[in-house]
Amino acid sequence: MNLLRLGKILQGVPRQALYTMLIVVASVPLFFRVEVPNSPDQPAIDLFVTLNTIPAERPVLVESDWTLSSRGESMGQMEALLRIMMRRNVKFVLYSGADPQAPQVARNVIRRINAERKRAGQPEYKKWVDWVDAGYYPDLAGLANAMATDIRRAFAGRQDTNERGSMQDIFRSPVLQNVKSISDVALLVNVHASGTIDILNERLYRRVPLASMCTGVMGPQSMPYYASGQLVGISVGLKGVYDLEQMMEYGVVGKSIRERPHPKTIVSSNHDEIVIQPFTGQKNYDRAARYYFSLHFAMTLMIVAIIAGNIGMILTRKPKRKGGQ
Amino acid sequence: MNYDFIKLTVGVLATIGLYSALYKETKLYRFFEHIFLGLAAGFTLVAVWTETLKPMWWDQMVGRTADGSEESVPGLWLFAILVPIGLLGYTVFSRKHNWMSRIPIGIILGLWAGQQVQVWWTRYGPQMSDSMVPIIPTTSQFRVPPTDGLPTEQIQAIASQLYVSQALSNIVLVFTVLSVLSYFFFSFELKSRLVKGVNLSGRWLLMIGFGAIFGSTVMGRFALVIDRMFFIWIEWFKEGILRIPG
Amino acid sequence: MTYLASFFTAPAASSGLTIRILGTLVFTAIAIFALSQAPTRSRRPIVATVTFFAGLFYVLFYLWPQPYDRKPNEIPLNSVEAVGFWLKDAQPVVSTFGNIIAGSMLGLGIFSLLSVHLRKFVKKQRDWQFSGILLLSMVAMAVIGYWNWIQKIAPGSPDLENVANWGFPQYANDFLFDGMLQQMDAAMFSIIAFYILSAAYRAFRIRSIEATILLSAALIMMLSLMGAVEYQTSELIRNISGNDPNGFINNFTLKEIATWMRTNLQNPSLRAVDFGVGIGALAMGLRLWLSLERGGVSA
Repeated sequence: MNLLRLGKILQGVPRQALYTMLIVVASVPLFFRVEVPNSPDQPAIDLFVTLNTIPAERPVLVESDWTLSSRGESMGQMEALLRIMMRRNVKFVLYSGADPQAPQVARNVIRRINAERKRAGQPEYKKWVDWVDAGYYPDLAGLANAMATDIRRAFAGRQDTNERGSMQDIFRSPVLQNVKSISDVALLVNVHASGTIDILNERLYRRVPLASMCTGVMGPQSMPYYASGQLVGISVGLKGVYDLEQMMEYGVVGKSIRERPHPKTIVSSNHDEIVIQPFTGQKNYDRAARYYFSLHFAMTLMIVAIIAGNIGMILTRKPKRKGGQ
Repeated sequence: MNYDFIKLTVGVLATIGLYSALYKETKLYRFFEHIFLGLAAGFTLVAVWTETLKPMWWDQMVGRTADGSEESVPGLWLFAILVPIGLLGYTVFSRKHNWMSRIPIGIILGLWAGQQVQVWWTRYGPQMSDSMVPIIPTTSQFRVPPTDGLPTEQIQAIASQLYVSQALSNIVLVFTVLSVLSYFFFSFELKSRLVKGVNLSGRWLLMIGFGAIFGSTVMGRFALVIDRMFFIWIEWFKEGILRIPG
Repeated sequence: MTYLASFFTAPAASSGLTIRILGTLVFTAIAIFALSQAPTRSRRPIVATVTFFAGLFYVLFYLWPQPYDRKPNEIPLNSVEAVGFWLKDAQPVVSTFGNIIAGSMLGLGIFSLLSVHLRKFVKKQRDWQFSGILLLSMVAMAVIGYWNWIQKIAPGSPDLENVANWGFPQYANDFLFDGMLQQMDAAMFSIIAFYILSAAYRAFRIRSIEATILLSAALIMMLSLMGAVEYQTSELIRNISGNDPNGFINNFTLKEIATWMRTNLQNPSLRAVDFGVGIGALAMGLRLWLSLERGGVSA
């Protein structure tokens, strides 16, 4: 086969063949459970350490700005976040700012995690007592400004169903009754697919610690804010979720700690004396662990396709004529 | 056939119907596309009132009477002006009165514009200070010495120095920021060879940022496809039809 | 609302509140009618004025001296402090204005969709059957959604977070929302991946230095996102260095290279782009606030 013909073949794979290849490489690995070796990134480690060291008696604000359009990444992030908070008995306030569908999607995830806890014999997270739903805000900038000034008036008028089944002001709930200002909140975590962390960063930086759990698309743009210290931690995309699941499985220790809970315990280079025990005997590896293996094959396909196209281009390139002939 | 399986099956059919667009735009694809748009619109109709206007506008406007343990909250009657102002936005469909739709837009944009004065500094101030890193080494040693097992004073002494390798990295960082910024100087002609060279370097370094975005985007998008395949093959086929736990 | 005048409030369920609300609505209707009669040359100044005063609130909020260590029920000492008190008390309320006005306009897209498809369906234009399906889906979702919500907020309703308490509206809402809408949303967005693969295969060519740099950076990023690849390269380097944790060659693992690139090339580059965009946004914000923009809001 001459090189020109090979080049044309390499550049001429029909798109339906490419699509079929992608479907195959994305599907087949899902049938195999493989623990992919991995080294968590420091931003994800910082996020995990923060989630495991915030005082359990102070609530967390969870801004859920995603829908199933980014289920592959955001749902895993939300599930990991909820599992960590629920296992530590950290109360949280759920609200959304980007999409009217987002609150319902988040509630569905909470319901599913509660069902998982019930099957495992653990207490379910009760609405009103352990978490409250503060609803949807189309003008997120306005909400963030109001939270910075007076969090009680930011969520003024919001009611949720209490234990007796009647609607009551959310600041009457055990979750928020001790919160007088934004500084009483331990952390604000934004699970997003659309860059809403920028709006929060602009208005709430230095008032409350901010953390971001974003999709791969938003990751590079959010990294500079982590680098400058405006975010305490960040989990980016599917890898970020896998990092969190791995840390939940094996724990994290600071770089000065010699004795580790497990041979695969992760060492944090940003911390010295910290020890975070793994969640032994509980469900840690979940969605990301299933998807991450497939991701390797899918990305390999992308790399091979790009390289093949370029080799094809080089092989079919007409040689430059010499001497004007 | 229980409810969960029926729900899964309908979801799979809808997914495959929409994926038929990869072959070509078919009536099947258009059918599910229209159902999707209708459901999304219907849900927004519900969410507009239940998630936004009722708690934020109606409940605050009419207040609340005392109810057992709950004390009464007075109503803010001035809020009655807000929804009519918002509804002015719908005059965009009127040929004669469409200028009035700019009033609510003007309010929202005005509120946004007024905030830029402060939020710009909150967002970019730390970015600027993080970019100002030292570029002159304080020691002639190239590498940072290992700190394992050293006493705290020695570790602090090592951390207080700037080694040549660190200085070189910092120079690269500062040069990247400045050269990429210089790429956006469109308002005057670049005459000097030095400035042109920096501008060209900025363009090249910009490509690194874009390359990183591309790589990360590929991960993000492929994760969505993998998720759909998981939904079809594992949740529906393996667990639903074959009844094998996932 | 400690310093906002009680002039703006009235006791709930009182006739005073009802009269004030109705009066405000009547006044608003008259004002809107008056606006609709405004001469053409006064329209731009009206919109410009509204935009200016909306922005002026936040400009004053940030530039006016803020009350420091304010006690509850404290009275301002002078007019400057009085304005500061008022701004701080009014800010959460003004934030709500934005939410309410934006919320009121959320239906714009639906209004447009409805008018187009209703017309198609009624007049039996091309593909009117699909328009009928869209309208049917919209109505079904809206009816079921409201029915579910009314049951959720009714006094004494059972905990509907618990599936055991679900009735027909909850199952129907779950079926339409989670079973259909969300799955189709996911499918729509995942289709982009196929197009990215196809486009990258056909168009991502190293024809120039810039394209080569972009491709190289993308390849390194993609490889570093694959944990197995990262791990294997680290193992290889570790074997070469003889498991010496302080070996110089350890700086050449994929993880170290990717981290160095991210810290010293990728982040600064994107930071600079973001900074440029931010300066543009600041300038645009000022121009919009002062209605200096030719094609802006008040045009």
